[in-house]
Amino acid sequence: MAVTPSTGKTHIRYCRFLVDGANLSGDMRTISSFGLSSDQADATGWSNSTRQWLNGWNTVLLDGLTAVFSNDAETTGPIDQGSHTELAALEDYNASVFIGIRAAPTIGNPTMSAVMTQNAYNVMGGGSDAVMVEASFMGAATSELSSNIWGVCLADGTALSATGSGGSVDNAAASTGGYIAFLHIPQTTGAIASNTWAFIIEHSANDSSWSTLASFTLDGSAINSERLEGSGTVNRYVRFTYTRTAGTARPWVSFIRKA
Amino acid sequence: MKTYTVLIECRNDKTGKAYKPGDTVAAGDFPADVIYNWLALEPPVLKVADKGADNGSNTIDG
Repeated sequence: MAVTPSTGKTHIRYCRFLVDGANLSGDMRTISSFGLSSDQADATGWSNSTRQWLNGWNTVLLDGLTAVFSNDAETTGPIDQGSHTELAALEDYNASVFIGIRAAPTIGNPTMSAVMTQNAYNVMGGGSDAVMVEASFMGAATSELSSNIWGVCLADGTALSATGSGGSVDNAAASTGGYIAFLHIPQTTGAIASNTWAFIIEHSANDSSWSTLASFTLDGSAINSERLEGSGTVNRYVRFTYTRTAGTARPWVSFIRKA
Repeated sequence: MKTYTVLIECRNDKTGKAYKPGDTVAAGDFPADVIYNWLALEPPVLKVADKGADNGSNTIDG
């Protein structure tokens, strides 16, 4: 059944940040901006009364990240690895921000996801403050990066212990531009290696007859992330479905309909 | 009744039945508009089942 997500204003404390499956939300303090910006070309001519601009290339960015320094390592669980452990390497990440609306993120809430290259990482501190880290990211060059970065949450890190489906998200109509989906598998309680799951995304025209839209290869047995992209029609309703063979999982899923 | 061959895994929440590729579904297993949608999707979820082999004519010489 379709969820009825909360809407309206919210606070940064209700956001969650995951990179390559690592949930860094426990260390996070700020992200000054995340989204798209465009190069702009001045197309103003002499006879124009106001300046005119043309958009050029888009830039996907996630800037001004600050977090409390932590070098917690990956453990048996449920402790997530710390900010320094995950972000110290300048490399590409599947990065997702889940935006809760006056509460922790739930299915249907907005998300921003992209493949990003980390281009700065620094540690800082002073006075009576905790040691902090700061980082910035821009859209990666390792794949044909999409400007479609805004989506919805289909899984919100809720611990799973049985086969089932998450609530469906109603788009009000089908879309025809294809999709991008990100799955993050963070640490679970106990030995993550013994977890075995199958994760898929389903779509439906009537919220009761479902077909598989996308199948993830990750099975929940390691901290990791996966990005899928497909073309064509996505029916009105989408949901995340999980089949348990063993163990538990706390997946986060961001689903984007491409324009 | 028309039947369809499943190409992509699908399920009906109302009946609780799930179908894998290669399974056969009947026209009544899903609503008509869903079947229409699934035949037209790219890639399609269903295809019209083969009608079977032609056994030849059955004329009787009289």
